[in-house]
Amino acid sequence: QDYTLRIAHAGPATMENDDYVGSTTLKEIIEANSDGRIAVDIYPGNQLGSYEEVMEQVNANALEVAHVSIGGVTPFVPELSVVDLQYILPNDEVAYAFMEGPFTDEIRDAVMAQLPNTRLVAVSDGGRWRSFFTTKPVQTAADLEGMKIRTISSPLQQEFVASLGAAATPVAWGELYTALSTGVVDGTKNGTPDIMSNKFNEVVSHVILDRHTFLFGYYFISDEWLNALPEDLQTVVLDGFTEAAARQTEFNAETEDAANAAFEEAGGTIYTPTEADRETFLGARQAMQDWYVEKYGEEWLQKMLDAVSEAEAAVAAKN
Amino acid sequence: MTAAFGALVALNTAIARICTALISGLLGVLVVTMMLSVIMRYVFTSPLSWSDDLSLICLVWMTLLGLAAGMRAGHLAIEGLVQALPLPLAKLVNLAIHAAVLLLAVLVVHYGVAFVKQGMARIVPSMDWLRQGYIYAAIPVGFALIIPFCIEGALSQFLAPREREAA
Amino acid sequence: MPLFIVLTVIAALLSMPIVFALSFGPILAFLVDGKATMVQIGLQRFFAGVNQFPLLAIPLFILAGEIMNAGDITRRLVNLARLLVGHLRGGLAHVNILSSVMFAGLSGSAVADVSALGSMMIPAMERDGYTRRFATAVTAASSIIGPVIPPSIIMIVYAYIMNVSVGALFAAGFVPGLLMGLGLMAMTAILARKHDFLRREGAPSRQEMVSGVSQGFFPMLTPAIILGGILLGIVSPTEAAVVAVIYALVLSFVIRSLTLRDIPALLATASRSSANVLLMIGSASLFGWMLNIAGVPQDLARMVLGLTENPIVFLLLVNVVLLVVGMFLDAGPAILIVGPILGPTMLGMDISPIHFAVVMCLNLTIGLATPPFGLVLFVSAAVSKEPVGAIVRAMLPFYVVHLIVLLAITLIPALSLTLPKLLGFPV
Ligand code: NA
Ligand code: NA
Repeated sequence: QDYTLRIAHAGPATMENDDYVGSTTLKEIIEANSDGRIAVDIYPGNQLGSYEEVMEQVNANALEVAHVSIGGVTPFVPELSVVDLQYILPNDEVAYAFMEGPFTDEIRDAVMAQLPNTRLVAVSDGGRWRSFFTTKPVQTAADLEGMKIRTISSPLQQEFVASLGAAATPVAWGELYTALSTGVVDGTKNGTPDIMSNKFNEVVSHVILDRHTFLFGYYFISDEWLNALPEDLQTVVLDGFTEAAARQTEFNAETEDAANAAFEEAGGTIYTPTEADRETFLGARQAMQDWYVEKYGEEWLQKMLDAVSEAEAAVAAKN
Repeated sequence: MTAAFGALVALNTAIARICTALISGLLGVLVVTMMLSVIMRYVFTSPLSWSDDLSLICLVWMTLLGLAAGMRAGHLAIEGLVQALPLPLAKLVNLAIHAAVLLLAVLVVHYGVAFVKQGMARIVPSMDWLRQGYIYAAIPVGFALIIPFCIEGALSQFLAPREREAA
Repeated sequence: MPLFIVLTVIAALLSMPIVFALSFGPILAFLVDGKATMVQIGLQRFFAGVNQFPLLAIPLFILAGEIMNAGDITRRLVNLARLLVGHLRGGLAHVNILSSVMFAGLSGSAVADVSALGSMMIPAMERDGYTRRFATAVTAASSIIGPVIPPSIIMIVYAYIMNVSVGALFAAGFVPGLLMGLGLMAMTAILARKHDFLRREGAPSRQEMVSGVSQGFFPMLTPAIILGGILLGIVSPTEAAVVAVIYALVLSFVIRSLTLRDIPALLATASRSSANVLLMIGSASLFGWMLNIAGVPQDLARMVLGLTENPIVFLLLVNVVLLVVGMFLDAGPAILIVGPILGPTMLGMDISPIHFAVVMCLNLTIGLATPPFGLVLFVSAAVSKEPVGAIVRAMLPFYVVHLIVLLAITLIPALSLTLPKLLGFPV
C-alpha cells in the first residue's frame, strides 16, 4: 500500500456500535476501491484521545480522520452548539434532509475558519434521538420537576435540564450505572442503543420518547493529506465517506427499533408522549433558544431555523 | 567559574522555592474548589458548572510546576548500573544524561509553542472566556523551568566537591 | 524493535529519570523520522494523561494521608492494632501487618505505608528484640496491602485507562487485601514458632483497651466513611477523597494535634508527591500512545492469542509478564503502558475486566517490593538504613505468601468479584 488512513472514533470495537460500523465500512470500501493502495487503520474507544484532541491531531496532519459528535466541534466554534438545541428537529425525515442540506457546508466552513486543515467530509446519524430514561415514570414535563438528571458537563445540556425544573447532575459515564442504581441521579438523557449496550436498563425502567435532540456524527479529514493523494484516490476516499456515513445512518435506524424492543422485553416501559403531553416540554424549546441568543447571538440560530424549514419543505415536496 | 556556578545554584534554589510555593497554593485552590463543589452538590443540590474544569487546571499546572520543584530531590531513576561503573566513566554517563534531559527540555519548549498556539483555537466549555492554550502552556513552561537545573547538573560533574560546596 | 523503545530503555538504564526517559524515546524517534508535527501531538498526549477528572482523587487522597500522619491519627491506629494482636507470639510483627491493613483503608499507596508506619514500627520492633532487617522486611512485605485495599491510587489510574468503575474496582480489592494480610500473619506465626520470637506485650488491661479503642474509634471511621460512600454509590471516588480530606482535618483539629500553621507544610509535601505521581502518568501516557500507534498492542494480542486461548493459562502468563514489568516500572506507569496492551487480549478471552484489574494491580504492587527496582524496597532501605539486599533476603518467606495469594486471586475470580456483585456493580 502507498497511503495509510487512520480513523479515530469514540465507540467500542464491536459491530454493535455505530461508530465502529461506520469505520469498518470506510475501511472495506476504501481498501477495495483503491486496490489496496490505501490501508485504513481503525482506532476505536477514544484511544487516540478525546473528541477535541483528535480534532487537533487532524488539524496538525498527525491523524488523517476524526469521527466525532458535535462535542468535538463546539470547543472550537461554540456557536455550532445550535444543532444541539432541543425540539427543533421534528422527525427522522427532516433530520436526514437537514443533514444533506447546505447547513453542513456552513459547519465545514466555520470549522475550517478555526482549524484550517480540518475538513468536514460527511455527516451521519451518530446515535439517534436523545430521550429521558428515568427510574420513575415520566409523562409530562411536570413529572421531571425535582428529578436529578445526569448530563455531561456542557452548559447547554445543563441549562436544558434546569429549564425543565430538574437538577442537572454531572456524572462520569463510567460511574453512571452505580449513580442510577443508588439514586445519586434519577435519570439520564441518552439514546436507547446506548442504554441497552451498557445494561443501564437494569437500573432505569422508564423512558419517555420526547426525542429532544438528534445526534449527528461528523467525519473530519486532514485537508493536507487528502490533497496530497492522486486525484483518482481522492475520489475513492470521498466516496468512501459518503457510503460509510449512509451505512451508519441506516444501521442506527435499525438498531434503535431493536433496542427499544429489547428495552421493553427486559421489563422497561416506553412512553411515546401524546401530542398534548409533548406540548408540555416545548416551553423548554423557547427557553433554550433565548438562552442561546443571549450567549451567542441571533446569526446561527436563524441559519439553523431556516435550514430546518428548508428541510421540512424538501420532505413535504418529496412526499 | 565558581562564581557563575554559584549564581546558577542560587537561581535554581529560587526557582525550586517559588515552584514549591506555587504548587502548594494550587493544591490548596484545588482542595477548596472540590470542597465547594461537593457542598454545592449535596447540601444545596445546585452543582457548580466550572468546578471540575478549574480543579483540572490546578491539577495540570501543579503537576508541571512540580517538575522543577522536584529536580533537586531528583526524580525517580534506575541508578544501579551507573553506580557500578568506574568513577570517570560514571561521570561521563551522568554528563550525557544531563545533556539529554536538557535536549528534551529544549525540544519540548520548542514544539510546545505550536502546541499552545493550537490550543488557542479552543475554549474551555464551562469557562468560555478562557482559551485552552493557557492550560496547555503548563507543558512548555514546566519544561523551560528545568533547563537551568540540567545545566547545573551537567556542570557539577566537572567541579570538585569542595568547589561545589563553596557554591 | 522500534527505535523509540530502544532509546527509552537505554536512557532509563543509564539513570535518566523515568519521567524523562518515557518522553525522550518517542520525541527523539519522531525527529529522527522527520515527523516533527507528531512531537506536538506527543505533548498533547502527555497533557491529556494528566488532565483527567478521576485523577483529581490522587492529590486529595495523598493530602488526606499526610494530614492523618501529621495529626497523630496513624499512631492511634498502630496503638489499636497493638491492643488487638500485640499479645500474640511475634506480637509487634503482627501489629505491623494489622496496622498496614488498617492504614490501607486510609491511604492509597504502598510508599506512604512504608514511610508512615516504617518510621514508627521498625524502631519499636528493634526495641523488642527483632533484628532491624526482619522488622524492615515485615514492613515492606505488608505495605503492599495499601494499594490493594481501597482507596488505591493505582486502581484509580487503572479505572480511567480501562474505562471501568472505580467503585467496582475498590470493592473488588477488599477481600484480596484482607487475604494478603491474613497470609502474612500466618507466615509470621510460623516464623515466630520456628525462631521462638518473644512475646513481650502482656494482654491489654480493660482500661488500656477502653482508652485505645476510644482513641482509635474516630480514625477507624475514616475508611468506613470513604468506602461506605463510594461502595454505596453516594459519592464518586473523587468526592470521597474530598470527604476524606475534610474528615482528617476536622479530626486533627478536634484532637488538637494540628493547627492552621501546619497546613502549608502539608500542602507542600502532598503537592510534590502528587506531582511526581502525575508526571509519571503523563509521560507514560505519551509512551503508551506511541506504542499504540506503532501497533504493539495489536501485535502482542495476536501473538498471545496464537499461543493460547485458555483464560487461565493467559492469566498465568500475564502474571509472569507483569511480575517482570513490575520489577522495573512503578505501578502507575506500568498500568498505563501495559493495560491497553493486554486489554484487547483479555476481552478476546471473556475475562471479567474487574477480575483482570485486581490480578494486574496485585501483581504490580508485589513488583513494588521485589528487586531490582522496587520502589518500596528503596524507601524501606532509606527509612531503615539497611541495604536492599539484606531486606530482600529477610523477605523471602513473605514473597512466598505474596505468590500464593496472587495465585489464589488469579485462579478464583469469586475472591475478587463477589463483593462488587453483592453491592450491585456490573462485573
Ligand atoms: Na488503600
Ligand atoms: Na506494615
